[in-house]
Amino acid sequence: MSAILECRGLTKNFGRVCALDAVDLSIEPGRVVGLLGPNGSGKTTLIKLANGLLTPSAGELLIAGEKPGPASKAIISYLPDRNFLPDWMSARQMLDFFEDFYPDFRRDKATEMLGRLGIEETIRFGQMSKGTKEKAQLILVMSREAGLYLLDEPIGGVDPATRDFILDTIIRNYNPSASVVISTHLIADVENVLDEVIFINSGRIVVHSSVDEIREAQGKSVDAYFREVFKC
Amino acid sequence: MLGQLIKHEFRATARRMLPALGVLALLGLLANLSFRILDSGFGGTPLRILLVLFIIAFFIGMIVAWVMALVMMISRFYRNLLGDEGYLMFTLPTNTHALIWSKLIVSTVWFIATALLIFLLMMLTGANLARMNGEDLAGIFHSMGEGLEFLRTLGVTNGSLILLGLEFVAAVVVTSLTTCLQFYAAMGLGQMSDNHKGLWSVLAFVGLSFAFQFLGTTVFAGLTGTDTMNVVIANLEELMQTAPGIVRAINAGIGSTMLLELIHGVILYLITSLTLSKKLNLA
Repeated sequence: MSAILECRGLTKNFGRVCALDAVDLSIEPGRVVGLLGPNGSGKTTLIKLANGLLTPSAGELLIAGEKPGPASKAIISYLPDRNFLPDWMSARQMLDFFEDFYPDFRRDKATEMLGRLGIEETIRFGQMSKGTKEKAQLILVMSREAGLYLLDEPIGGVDPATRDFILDTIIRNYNPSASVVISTHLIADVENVLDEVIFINSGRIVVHSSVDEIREAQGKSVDAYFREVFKC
Repeated sequence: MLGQLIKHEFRATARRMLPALGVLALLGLLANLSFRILDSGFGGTPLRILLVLFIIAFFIGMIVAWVMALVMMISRFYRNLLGDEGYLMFTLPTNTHALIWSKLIVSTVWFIATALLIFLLMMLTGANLARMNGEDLAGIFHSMGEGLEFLRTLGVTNGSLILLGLEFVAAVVVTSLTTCLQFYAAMGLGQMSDNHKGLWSVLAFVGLSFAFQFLGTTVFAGLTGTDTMNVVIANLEELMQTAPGIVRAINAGIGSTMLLELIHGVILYLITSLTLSKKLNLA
């Protein structure tokens, strides 16, 4: 099976700081992958490179065999670690926007999820609370029938109830033939939904293994193993 | 995809520009009404002060509308592409050219709409003042017609006058595009930096302006005194002897200036598209 995301010697420097150091990585379709690492480990940089928001300093990154570009962007559904929608846009305008640009966007699905949360289509993004903004953005991203979902810190900075909603939305709505990459440092919350994990530290992949293999080989949870690997 | 980008760009900008142009139009009408009332001698001092304020507000409003169109052009590019919204825009399944052109086209439309509204309001004000001075509006148009007829008797053809009009419109469009691109290229260069992107953008703007002025001056100085330049000057002197020649000289002047501006614009476009496609560095 060909990889949906592949890195070969991928390096990214910011001035003298090396954010990613010759990363080799391959993610197969149909997997839910946890990209786990402490703050500043290179998770966001890797995801931004996959989305073409940064250009590599060396090496290459391929999405379904293609370098990041319009073709790869058509199959990636990306949730950044920040609010990417303008404050003036209403929920209806957000739906219009996604429907206009993504042929794989399921408006009915998004409308139904927004309705369940009680988010009216006339409400503007700027009027939403922090948690509601996170939910609204996730609903838009997960309402696409994408080939690869790249979710950067989807549960960071939200309350436990919202966290549950977000994880539930991800697991219920992703395209089963697609891969989902969830970047986070909140391992215990995501552990149960993951097929495999990638530990990243100082721009290097230190562990890439299935969750079952870690539990069998280490005799402990991914969270406990993470704490052991990244012990200060 | 470009069509969709333009549609959403209009949606984003119209919510600011349409009310602004609406207010300007209202101020224009109020100012003209004020001229009439002041001329009639109606009302006391407080009313007359208010009417004068309307007239002042109209003239300030014209400047504000221009500044607003300019600020809108810059802020839309910076916030929508290089700020947090850039995480959405640059992950759309489209290319960088479409993103740049959508901004260029919509900004140019607002520039032209602002210019047209100001032109119409100035014409209205001119006609209003002329009528107040006892001049007949029909008489003004008649005089303009006579002026054109006089040019025709001197041998100036309708074709060259139409060409002049078309060149003027093209020059407005090209100048507007190049103005936008000067800012876009500077912001494209500035965003490449890891820190102080805004400051680097300003420095890039100053640097680009200086570089193009230096280039222009150097080329002009290099051409001065050459055989080619002497031939051009001799031809121009000959053309300036007749009315049709003067119009042709103006045609040639606008055409060549526009060509230079077009080259300027192409270079700036290349800088913008290369920095955003090959060196994108969103914070």
